Amino acid sequence: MNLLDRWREIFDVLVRRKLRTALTALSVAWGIFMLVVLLAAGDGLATGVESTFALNAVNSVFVMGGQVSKAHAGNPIGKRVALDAADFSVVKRDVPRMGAPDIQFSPGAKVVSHGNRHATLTIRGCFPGRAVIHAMQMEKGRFINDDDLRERRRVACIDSKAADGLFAPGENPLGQWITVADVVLQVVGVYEESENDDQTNMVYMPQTTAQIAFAGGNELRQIAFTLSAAETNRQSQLDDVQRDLASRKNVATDDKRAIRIRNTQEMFDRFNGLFQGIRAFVWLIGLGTILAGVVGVSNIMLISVAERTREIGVRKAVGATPSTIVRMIVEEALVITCASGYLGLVAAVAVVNVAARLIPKTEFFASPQVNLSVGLAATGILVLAGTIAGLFPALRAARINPIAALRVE
Amino acid sequence: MIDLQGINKSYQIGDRTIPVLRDVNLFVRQGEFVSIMGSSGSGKSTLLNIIGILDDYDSGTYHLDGTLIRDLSEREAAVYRNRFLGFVFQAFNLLPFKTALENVELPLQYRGVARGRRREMAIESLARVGLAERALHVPSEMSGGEKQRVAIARALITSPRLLLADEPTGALDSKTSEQIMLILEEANRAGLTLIIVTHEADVAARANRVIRIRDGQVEEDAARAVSSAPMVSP
Repeated sequence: MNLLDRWREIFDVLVRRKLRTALTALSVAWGIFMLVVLLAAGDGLATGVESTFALNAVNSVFVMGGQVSKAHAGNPIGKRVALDAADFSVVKRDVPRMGAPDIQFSPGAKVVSHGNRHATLTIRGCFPGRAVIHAMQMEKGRFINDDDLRERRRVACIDSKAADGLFAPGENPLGQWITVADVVLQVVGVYEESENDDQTNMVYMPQTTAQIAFAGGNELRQIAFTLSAAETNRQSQLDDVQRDLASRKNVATDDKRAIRIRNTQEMFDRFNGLFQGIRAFVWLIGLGTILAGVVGVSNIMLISVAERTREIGVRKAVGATPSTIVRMIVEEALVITCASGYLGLVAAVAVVNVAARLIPKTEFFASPQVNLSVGLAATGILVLAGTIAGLFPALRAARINPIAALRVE
Repeated sequence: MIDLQGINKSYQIGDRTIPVLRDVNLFVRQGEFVSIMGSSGSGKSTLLNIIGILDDYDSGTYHLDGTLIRDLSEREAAVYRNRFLGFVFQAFNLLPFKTALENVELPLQYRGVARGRRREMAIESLARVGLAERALHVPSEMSGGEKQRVAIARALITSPRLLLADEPTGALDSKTSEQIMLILEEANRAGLTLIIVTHEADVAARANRVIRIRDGQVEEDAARAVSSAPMVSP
């Protein structure tokens, strides 16, 4: 039997059993639709959270003082724990290979002026490492550098939003002088405001300068640094920091609220693990749905074969070989699964595209999409599923004995 | 043409073995018109199935046109059926969703004949049974006699050496039966070997040779003079 004949036969059967074909097709189309939409949703979730993480260098560690949560050595619950410069030395000793160290001294919000323009901005004393840890993008000039820090220079780096407030449109902030309370600072850089509110309306100045200018004593808002993922005993180093700082502050070693250590790499890993889990789960559900569809197709093909026992008997009597019969049934199943699966795929892509346009980008969800590999995988699954769905009924059809099939009923 | 020697065939039903054919010997020459008679359960249909390579036999030998038909794979059997044999059944066994033309084409389709050529041959074959103008009707729009004529056209389209008919008139009234028999006899006159299984004496009487089967054995094998007497209508 040539190809054209085979296709005509398949088309004949499918059209003849419209309802059956439609119902079978629906189950497969639904399976693929679900799989693709769920995968795209998972992709959107991952893209959203990953873009949030991109705001920080992924391998950064933040150490902050908090509040005592476990009474220890006379320190009552609720007592505030403040870090100071000496604590930074301890952290440096415990984590000898830290990168981009940054300690922050925070005098808080102050009125900042330039000429007759005024704005209330948050003032932070920091190390150059700050720019690395928060992945700051410079728009103009440079960030605070080591020389600024060493020489206690009166320089400042502000964000673009703060610059808009302090300078007239078109005015170049670089080299200009701004007044913070009664301290005068020269602007050396402007960085792009980011989506992170924590980084807008800010004035960064060398930590050493800030400490003196604002007489803030020793208290540090946070100690931050990066820690290479290649570092083997990361966790034990951070455990050392926890233990040493706890003992210095007279709090319980396991009081994670008194000495707060936030490790973005760890969180990132955890999220990554979560997304892998979600992805695996989605595949599981999707494949399960497709499997149900396949079983449906297989089942209906079995019924179809039973209904067509006499027809198959006639075909065999006039010269159809078993392989012709197998091919006929398998191809029929393949056509149903592939055509309907393709419809499901197209519908899913359409839905995902509309959703991508309608759902606003948030820090948890952004630009869901059906990537090529998902499409290819779905196609592969369909062909495989169709073949499997058709194979069992086809083998049964091939075993039909023409004599039994042709016997008068 | 057909040479059956010492054919034995039994069926297994549960743990009992039921002999169906016992030491059947039969020789049919090219161009003969043979009818096989027997009561139901006598083994006549099994014999026809073996001759039609639809069923296997346990022992003995069967030569069809000089070829030993024995332990064929399903594929080989299908090829031989397609090449040598035509079948006509009591229940017509047309594919219900296909037109008369498409039904007649079917054996050629499995033979891989191109569509245009196939169509031509099918129309020719339908014309031979007087149904050219019904070519595009589906079986449900046809009478029993017309259906059987389509089935005969389908059986003849491959120019088989042997036509096997299992109660071809069993489901038809006597007038229609007469038509069918005339068509079959004409094909036989044109050189086709014809074997008809029937329990109707008047149908059997038209053959050159009547074979009676009883309890799985050939009870009587009577050659007759070629009968040209018309069938007696009741």
